[in-house]
Amino acid sequence: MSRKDSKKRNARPTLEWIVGVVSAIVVLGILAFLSYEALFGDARPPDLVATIDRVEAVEGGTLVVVTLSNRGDQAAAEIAVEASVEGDGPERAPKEIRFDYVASHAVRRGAFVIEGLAVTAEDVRLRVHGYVEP
Amino acid sequence: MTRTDREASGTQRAMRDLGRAAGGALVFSLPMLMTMELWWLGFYLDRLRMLVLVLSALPLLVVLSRHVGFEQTRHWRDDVVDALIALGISGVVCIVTLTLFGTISVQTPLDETMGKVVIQMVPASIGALLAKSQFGAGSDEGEDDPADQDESYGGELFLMAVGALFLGFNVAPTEEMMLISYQMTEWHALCLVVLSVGLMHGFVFALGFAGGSEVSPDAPWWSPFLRLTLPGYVIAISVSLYLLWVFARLDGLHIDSIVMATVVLAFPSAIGAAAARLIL
Repeated sequence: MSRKDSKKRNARPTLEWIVGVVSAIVVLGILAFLSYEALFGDARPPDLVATIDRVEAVEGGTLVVVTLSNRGDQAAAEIAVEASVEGDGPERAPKEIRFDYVASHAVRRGAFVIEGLAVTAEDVRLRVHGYVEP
Repeated sequence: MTRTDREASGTQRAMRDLGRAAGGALVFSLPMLMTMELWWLGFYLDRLRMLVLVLSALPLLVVLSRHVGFEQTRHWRDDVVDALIALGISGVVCIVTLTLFGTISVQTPLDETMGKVVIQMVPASIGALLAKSQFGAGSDEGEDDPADQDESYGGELFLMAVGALFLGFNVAPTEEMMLISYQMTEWHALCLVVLSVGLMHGFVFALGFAGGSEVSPDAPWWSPFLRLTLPGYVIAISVSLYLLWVFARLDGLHIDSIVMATVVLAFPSAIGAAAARLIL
């Protein structure tokens, strides 16, 4: 290959440089975001809050859809949430569901099925038992 | 050669191509066919996301057929037919394999069967189209190894996207992917970004993209780094984000967890993108 040919092949179209510069900005943006989080981000432990999303009548009982929020800065695993039905009527055994993971500042949903009499959101009490580190 | 001989040879060639495609589909999709998270996704994944996955796969398969199809094609119409044949063969391969594994049976509801098969068909059809470069390279006179072909810049970036998709698809649906991102700190993620980009650049140099024409020994190191490595990493990041969204892995996550999960998946995707010339 002649020197002239080699030079011609090395002359890259402007588009390639534009794509390169835009990509560099994106990668630098990711690095800047991660650096900021690493240097100045909080490291609070998982702060788990279970709330009732909605209550629906289903065949054979009531479906209680719950939302589990992690307001902490670290992820939690194997989170046990218990629901107990209070109020008048026969005493019922509490129910438990387990969430495999909830990331930091993330939300996961689950549901309890309460058999028998219809219940309202006011009758249900939720408790978060605990978690383990992922 | 008589007309009968020519017909026999044509049928033989067609059978061989179909066999290659089925083999390619199996090689590329077997790890996914044996991953339970993908079976589960088959029945619970939002059908809209599944539709997006298939619709976005179609143009990708057509363009891929242009590059490395299992037939030497000349027109776009042939590429569309090739892409559809690849999807069809992949569908058959996935149905047969999942039935043999007992994952689907006649008792399985149609919706669940469809979901389980469709989600596997996409990576399998990439394998079916790549079958030529996997099994056929060098076996036919006059057929060039795609790795030796001169690619345009757009073609290079496209092959990177396919490579990223291929490796990313293998790990994106697994629980381990998310678990890794939860175990990592931002410092780990920063190191992973640097390692991903560094390894990609190593591959760019080692493989000499496009048969050496894109990476010239006269060019300074930063030239291919800026033109190929960084765009390649952005492609890996974009493919990873797309796969995580399709597999509903980002639902309910905060921005920092989304970035962490994407950086984790971008690691195998970046290797796939950089090694596209090797694996495709």
